[in-house]
Amino acid sequence: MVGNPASGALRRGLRVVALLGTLWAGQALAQDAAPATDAPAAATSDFAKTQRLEELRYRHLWIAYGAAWLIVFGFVWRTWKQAEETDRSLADLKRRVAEMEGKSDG
Amino acid sequence: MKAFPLFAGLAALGMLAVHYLAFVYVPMEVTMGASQRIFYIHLPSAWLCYLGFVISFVASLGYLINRKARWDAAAVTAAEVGLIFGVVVLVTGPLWAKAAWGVWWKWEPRLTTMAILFMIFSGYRLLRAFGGDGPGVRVFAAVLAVFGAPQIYFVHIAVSRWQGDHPNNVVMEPEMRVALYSNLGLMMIVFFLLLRLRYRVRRDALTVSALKRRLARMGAG
Repeated sequence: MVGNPASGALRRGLRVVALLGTLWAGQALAQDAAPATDAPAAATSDFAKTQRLEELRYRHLWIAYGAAWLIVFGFVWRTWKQAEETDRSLADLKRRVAEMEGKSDG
Repeated sequence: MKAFPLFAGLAALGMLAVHYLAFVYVPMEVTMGASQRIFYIHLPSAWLCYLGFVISFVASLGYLINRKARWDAAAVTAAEVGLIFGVVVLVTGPLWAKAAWGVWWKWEPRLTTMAILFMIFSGYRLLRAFGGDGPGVRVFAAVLAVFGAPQIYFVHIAVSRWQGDHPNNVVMEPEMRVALYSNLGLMMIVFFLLLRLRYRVRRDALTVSALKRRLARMGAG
């Protein structure tokens, strides 16, 4: 795939963002399964339980919206790059066909 | 292609507006709290997933009737876009389920039928990706889409027919409707732009293949 340095850098940047996003989501989700730490009395209180549930709900909300838009716009981005590549191939092939037809006419 | 940055900018503005509606405008739901707001992206994604598969069904039927390449291209494109929204459904669903039910997944009717629908069209996509682009593969894939898409009906009736834990026919406050349909509107714009762009890429890829064959016949390799 032919690409200019700027688009290559952008692609690498997007990969890094996707990787960091995945790591963050993994870490955030791992917290869901993490056992309660010290201060058992506080952890078992209704207030602490409610607070943990609220934190989980917000964490899942951010991950859901982040993942959804990352998936959709990642696909849009990939399609756009494919369209650019196809445009280049098409222009190149049309030029070569025209050259060949010119030769055969001449 | 030059319109892409404009499209991306408008989509970003639209996202800000619909996120404001989903996160701020709609009051907090009492029982599920913040996780209920996943609903505003989960449900529109499911509808657009169905829409992609329905378009694929119609285009596949069209291809089986008249064997025109453009019908086949439309069927593949719509299945791909439908699958992307299906992935969003299957990612956001378990995140919501974990917060609401305490588990990531349940083998209950709506989730199971949705998983089957997704697998049918994943099979369709893999067939098109690795099976080549011959007429036999096109017909086989079209038949798969025609017989696979009616599964949408079973996903739709799953809750009312076989019960289960998945919410169905949710009664919505006016603010919830505004947020839901605004999200649907934005996602629908993205859906159709994506459909158009993918269709163009597929059509141009077919032209590239035809030109390569023509060059090979002319002796240019």
